[in-house]
Amino acid sequence: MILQALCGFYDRLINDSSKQVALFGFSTENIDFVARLNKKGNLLDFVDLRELKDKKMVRKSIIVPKPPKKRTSGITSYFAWDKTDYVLGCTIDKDGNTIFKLDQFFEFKKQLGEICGDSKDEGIVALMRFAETWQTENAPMLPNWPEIAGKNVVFQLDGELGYIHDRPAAKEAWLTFLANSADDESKDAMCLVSGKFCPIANLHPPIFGVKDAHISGAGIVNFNKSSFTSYNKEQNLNAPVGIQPAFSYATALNHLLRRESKQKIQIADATTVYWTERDSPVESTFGFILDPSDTSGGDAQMAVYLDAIREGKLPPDIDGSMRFFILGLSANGPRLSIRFWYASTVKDISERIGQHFSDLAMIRSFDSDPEYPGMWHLLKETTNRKSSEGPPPLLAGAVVQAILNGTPYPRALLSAVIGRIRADQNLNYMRAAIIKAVLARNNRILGHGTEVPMALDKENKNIAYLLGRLFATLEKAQKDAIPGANATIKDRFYGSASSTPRVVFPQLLRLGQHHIEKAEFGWVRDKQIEEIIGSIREFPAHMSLDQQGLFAIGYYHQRQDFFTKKDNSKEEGAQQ
Amino acid sequence: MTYGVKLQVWGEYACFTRPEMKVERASYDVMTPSAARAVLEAIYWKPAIRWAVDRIHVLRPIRFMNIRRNEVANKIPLGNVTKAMKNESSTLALYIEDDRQQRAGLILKDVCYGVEAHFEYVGGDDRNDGKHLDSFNRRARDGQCFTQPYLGCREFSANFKLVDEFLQSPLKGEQDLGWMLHDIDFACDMEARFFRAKMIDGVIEVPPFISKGVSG
Repeated sequence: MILQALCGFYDRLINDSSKQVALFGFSTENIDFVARLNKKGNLLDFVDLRELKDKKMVRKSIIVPKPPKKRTSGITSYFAWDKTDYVLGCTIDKDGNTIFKLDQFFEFKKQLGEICGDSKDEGIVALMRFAETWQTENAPMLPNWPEIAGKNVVFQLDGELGYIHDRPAAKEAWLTFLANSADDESKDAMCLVSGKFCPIANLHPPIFGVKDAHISGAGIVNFNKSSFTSYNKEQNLNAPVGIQPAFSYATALNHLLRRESKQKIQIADATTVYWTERDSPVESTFGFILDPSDTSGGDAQMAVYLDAIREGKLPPDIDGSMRFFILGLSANGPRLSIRFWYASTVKDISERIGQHFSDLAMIRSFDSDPEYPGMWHLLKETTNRKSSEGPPPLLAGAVVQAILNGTPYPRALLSAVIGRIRADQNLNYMRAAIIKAVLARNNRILGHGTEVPMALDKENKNIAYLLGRLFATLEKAQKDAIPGANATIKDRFYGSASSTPRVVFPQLLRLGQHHIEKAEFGWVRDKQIEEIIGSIREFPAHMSLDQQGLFAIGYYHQRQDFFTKKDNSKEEGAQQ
Repeated sequence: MTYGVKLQVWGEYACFTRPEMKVERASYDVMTPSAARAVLEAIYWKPAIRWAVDRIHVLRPIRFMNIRRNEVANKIPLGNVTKAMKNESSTLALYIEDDRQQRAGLILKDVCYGVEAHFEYVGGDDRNDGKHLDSFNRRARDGQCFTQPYLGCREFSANFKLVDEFLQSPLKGEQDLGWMLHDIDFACDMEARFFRAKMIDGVIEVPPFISKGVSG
């Protein structure tokens, strides 16, 4: 299904002239320099194709002829382009010493002869003359040789705009050569993508662009150890895919994973790509939805869309029935594993995401708190800020799965956040939002638990919520009495108050009385405490994880309420 | 051709591995006919018969989860085995500490399937409908099996129950599952055969192995 969807996407890409996608027999490669030749085949100069982007030199992506098989070992040259080892017969090693590669250069010459030996095309003739006359010893004498050495080079005829390999005669010669040299050793079998009986690819084109994968490319279909093979089948014959479909899906996936792609985002360790059946604006906005810190989406339009889906509606200009695919890949050396795969419609996805944000809705503490937190914001709250390790990778994938499937969030999320709160006594907006989202979702889907409010709810009689409010009130009393204290009851008692209230609260209430006596407007606190305790019958001996979550929310809501009320009470104080 | 049987199979986990993602396992959404056949064969099989799956009912919603496991990277070469057989003193071993590979898996969770199948005769011997059908039914009812049935991979054990009718599937609507593995053609160089799987209201019609519906 996955490979098929990618092949479908490839078909869409090649029919779309605005996208630069390679056809069969070609590939998009990173090229550094173009060597300009005159008609006689003399090398004129090298032009640097690289550009400065974000303080890094970025190589130019050009579509060049390339056979579908990966070049692994041995000496084989590419046609009309390659690194200087082949094209000039010379390169430098890591110490900067020049080494000559005569065999490689000979292969390059031979390839040219084989493919287009009798061509009369100007450009090809010039290239062949260059290959005939070039002396490898001249390479180190080229201006800025250290920069050029070892890099990828394409050719251009002086005075022309295009590259020699792009000339129609060159393309034709190349494709004829490819067709004739089709591997006799490739077996025929049923392709699992197309369903047709056709030659099967032994090795699939490599995939680039997945974080932490091998630089020389990785593969979804990759049988690089003997324990992975079955029935004595070698390599990719274990999973028969035709040569053409293999090229299609790999090219489509590489296109989605390219550096400047707007259709990929990173969710913890899973590089995620997404695409729609046909062109749609949702394709580019989805990344923003999952990661709103990326501001390239255009904020006003995004805000409208997000507001709409949180309400459960879809903006009218978006076609809801179109199919939408999401693929999460994570690297394991030279292999890629599927972290998740989701195939659904635009409407479905929008609904699920809207539900997610609606579950997350929580009163904010600062105006800078994001109203629509991205995945990264959420997952950050499960880790120790001082540690450089990211959140556990399986957790991120599980959360995205939960969002897309509309199922409860993983339990691990709740316990991770509550654990962090107890460890560093920091209960911010994001953590409160996460807890509320987990509990609210469980309540809605599984039908148990309580309603979780978005802002302070004085009518809520849930014991854990009340205790959280009580704790916040006591803390405030202490702050009023001893402003600027180094350690409040929150630092000392939060953990035990939320998990074993019966042990801790009597002591806290006693302390609270002292604070109330000392503070100027302590009687206000006293009244509030009275109000809360009025609904408590007894302190529970211990509280479950869900209850600890409610405790945290009650605490957060009450505290927020104090901050907004503070101005009022100051005024009251001033008037009195 | 002969009488059919109805078996309900369920388990905590399942992994019907896609051939193209066999290394970093990704499961098909539903049970493959070959996995269903394996369950039936684990319960009852004789060389005279061959199980053919007719229909697969999906009785619980499709849910995935991710796991990672450490597995062995290589197989013991045949040469080592034959050497050990000839020479009693040489040791035959494969140490995982030296040979570890971590493999991820996208597997199914909480699955339940209804399998409708019938058996066909391979050759001329032992053609006795009553005997085979009775044996299967008796064994399935008593919970007897030759080996523990499993759902795709051996570590995901399956529970089974003989039923008369299946419950209604919670899935609605038509879903195209693409080309799905039908089975391996053991007679013909272990080639994989695929069929176009369509799930209608949670039921997948499985074409016979040798038919137009199965290409290869």
